[in-house]
Amino acid sequence: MSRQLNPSQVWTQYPVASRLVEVNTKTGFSLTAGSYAVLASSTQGGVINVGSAYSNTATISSVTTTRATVYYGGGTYAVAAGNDGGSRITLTNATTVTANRGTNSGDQETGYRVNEFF
Amino acid sequence: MNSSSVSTVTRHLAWFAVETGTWIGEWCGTVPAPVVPPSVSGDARLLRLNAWLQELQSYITPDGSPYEMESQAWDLQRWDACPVGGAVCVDVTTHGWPVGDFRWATFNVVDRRLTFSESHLYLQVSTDTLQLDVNHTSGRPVQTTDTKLVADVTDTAFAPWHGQLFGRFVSKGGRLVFLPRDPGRFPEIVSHAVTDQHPALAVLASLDQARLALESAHR
Repeated sequence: MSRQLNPSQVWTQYPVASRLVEVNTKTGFSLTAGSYAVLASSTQGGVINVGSAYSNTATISSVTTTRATVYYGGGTYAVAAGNDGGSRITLTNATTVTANRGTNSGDQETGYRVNEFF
Repeated sequence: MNSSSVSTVTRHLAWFAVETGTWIGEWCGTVPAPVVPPSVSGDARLLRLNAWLQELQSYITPDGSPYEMESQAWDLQRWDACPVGGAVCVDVTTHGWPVGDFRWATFNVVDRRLTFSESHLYLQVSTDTLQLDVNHTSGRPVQTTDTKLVADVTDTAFAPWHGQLFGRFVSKGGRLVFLPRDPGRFPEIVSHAVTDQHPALAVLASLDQARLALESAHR
């Protein structure tokens, strides 16, 4: 990102980089992890319409899979699909939730919720 | 100590306005690691780490830094409007999220608490089948992929019906028309609004049209 610099901005010589850099005077204080708390850090969810297919996916905000869990949020099924046994929800990767089912007949909506823990 | 012996760490930093708690920007890159003796622990360690962070971040601005940057995202208007000492820099590395994901978070300086209270509503279209097949809610951005077109419909005409907007796009009369799976669930004008001549932009480009159409209908 580049933009026109304000001539009144403060500049200094940073010894490591050996080049002119702007000094950030806007930050009053800084906090590392452990110095602050996080509220409702990562909960997201939705509904996947599997349609007339065996599976479908939803794209989600990125999570760290080793500390995230996906929950089944219930499902609705077309009346004609009497043999539909429900669906299986999987956190496929950091940005994908997959809904699978055993048939591809009839329409199906599958709810899901992804929680990430810290 | 020469530069080759300095150990480095990757840090993802976010700046928030002290007064309002709103997001100003984010930066991620490689910085010199902090040096804290193992015998220093607890509050004393945090004190040193906060001082280390304050020092290293003082050389980071939207205009550049001496460190190796991976990515950054800034609201330049908020940055320019921020007074001296009016921002707090928070190390958010531990979350492991992409740069830009904290844009809707707020930081409460009094309680020193990071909050994700703002939920955004998304509709997703499978680009191979042209099915609007996912309604998703998240407090962070969701990125479009090769197979999923993601539209943020927060505060749009679609918001009241989020959670039940499913259907498919078909070509009709030279236009791409949205056929809802359950047309009776919401006003016809909503489904008519989800149209555009370019499949890849079908939902995104129609949002303003939908808003205008609904506003006109309510006048």
